[in-house]
Amino acid sequence: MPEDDLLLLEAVLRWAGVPVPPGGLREVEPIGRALRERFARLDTVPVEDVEPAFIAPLVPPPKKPGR
Amino acid sequence: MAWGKGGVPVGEEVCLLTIPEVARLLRRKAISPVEVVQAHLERVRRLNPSLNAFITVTEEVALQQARKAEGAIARGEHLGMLHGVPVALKDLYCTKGVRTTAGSAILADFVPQEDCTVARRLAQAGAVLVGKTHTTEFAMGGHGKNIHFGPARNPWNPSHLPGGSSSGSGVAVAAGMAYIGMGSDTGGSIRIPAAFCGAVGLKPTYGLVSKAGVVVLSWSLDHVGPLTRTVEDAAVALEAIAGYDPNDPATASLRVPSYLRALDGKVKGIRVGLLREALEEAEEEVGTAVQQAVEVLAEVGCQVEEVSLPLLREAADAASVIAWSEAAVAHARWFPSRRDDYGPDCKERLTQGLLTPAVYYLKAQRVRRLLLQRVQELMERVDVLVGPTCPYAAPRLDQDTVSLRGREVRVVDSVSLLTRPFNLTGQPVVSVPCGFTRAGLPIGLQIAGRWWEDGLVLKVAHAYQQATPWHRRHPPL
Repeated sequence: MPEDDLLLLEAVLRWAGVPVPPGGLREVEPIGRALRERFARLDTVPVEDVEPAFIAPLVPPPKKPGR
Repeated sequence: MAWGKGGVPVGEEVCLLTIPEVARLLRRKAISPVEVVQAHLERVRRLNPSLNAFITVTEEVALQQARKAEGAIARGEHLGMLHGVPVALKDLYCTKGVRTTAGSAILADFVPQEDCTVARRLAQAGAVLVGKTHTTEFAMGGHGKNIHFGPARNPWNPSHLPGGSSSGSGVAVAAGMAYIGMGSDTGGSIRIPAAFCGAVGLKPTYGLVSKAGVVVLSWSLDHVGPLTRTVEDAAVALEAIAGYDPNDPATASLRVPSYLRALDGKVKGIRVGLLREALEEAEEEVGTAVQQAVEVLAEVGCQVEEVSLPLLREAADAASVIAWSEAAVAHARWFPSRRDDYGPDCKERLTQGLLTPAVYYLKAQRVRRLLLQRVQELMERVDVLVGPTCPYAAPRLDQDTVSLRGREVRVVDSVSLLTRPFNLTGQPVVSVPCGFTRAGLPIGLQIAGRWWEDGLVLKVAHAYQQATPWHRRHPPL
């Protein structure tokens, strides 16, 4: 990535509260690359008609303790 | 095994009994809880310097609890199978008055004011806490290394990884330093050390056991459960800790059955699905052991068929995206300001979480739903799914990569490839030893069941153990 773009991205990330490492974004380049590969694999899964799972109990909340 | 007067094991031999065996001896006062605990503490003193299973040994607490149990049993107040039985808790479990580090520098001096729910339930059942076990930093990582506390070591070969993140619990149990080592499992952290150390590791159904008071890694993927030497012991542990907890909104209000009673050996006709894709991901020696295990299941009466779950790899990716996004939120209070207090694995993962766009978190949750649908369809055809717990046996401590089917892969990414999908689905899964490599390292078999059918999973695993010798082998220590 060109240096100017990196600096701009760093500024945006800092603005968004993401802790940019002391060595700048070059330091997290391998992480970014691994993430891109992971996202690309997820993009191959056809999920257009699938509703996301959400953090929720698998059964309705209890009315009273079960023990 | 050396036996004393009246058929009572002497010295450290008592440490390798099963829980029902030691419980019988305790109940009939053939041996006292203080003797049992002292034998374990002696073993910890002898083995922990080389295996590094414990971050904190709670000798004083243990002896105090043992004396209390001794008095109660003498008065005829026997609380059940766990009364006077030594257990260990992963150092992620908050324990009142006992340092809880989460394997980190951040919480190096954290002394909780309350017990977590599981610690409280084990104490109520009369169990004795011998110590807090080694964990990878904040439970991030399936290897069992820790930059702050050094690596835990595999009892079968100390130059190999024990697996993680519940590394110390796996080591402690396999090496006879506790009957139960409690662990947590966000991507395989109970099952991986169980597989690498030759122990049993149970990840119960999501919502069956309270996570309240266990340091969070990922709310929607975290599970807590026991590591033991036998399936029977895992059933005893589960019975003591399962059930609704108002402090954990994910726990369900269900009657807790007797999991021990479920181990009746009646497995005839149970439909077992061997996961083809999981087998294809494993190295040859592991695959052979798993296929032989499946043959044993067929011999004891199960109906075995091969089944397909093509989403396995994508599911593992989705699990990572969800885990590190949630972890980044859980660590928001420390990571931005104390980045340098974290080790490299944690830094990498928390940074991944911070750099993950919300749209990909939701995409991962869609893949999760899709996986759930596929698995639900499969679970209509079969009663349990089986496959290798890990693609390979324990790598050496100095190995960062392994060669897997001709590809060089990072241990930190690949070790949990086959366990992560079941954290997405929340199904009950148990890992049981199913053989050894030519180098003498244990191999794990993973058995997954339908939601809330933890008893059936344990039943199948127990029937397998009854037909095989692996759980009776102990590391030469």
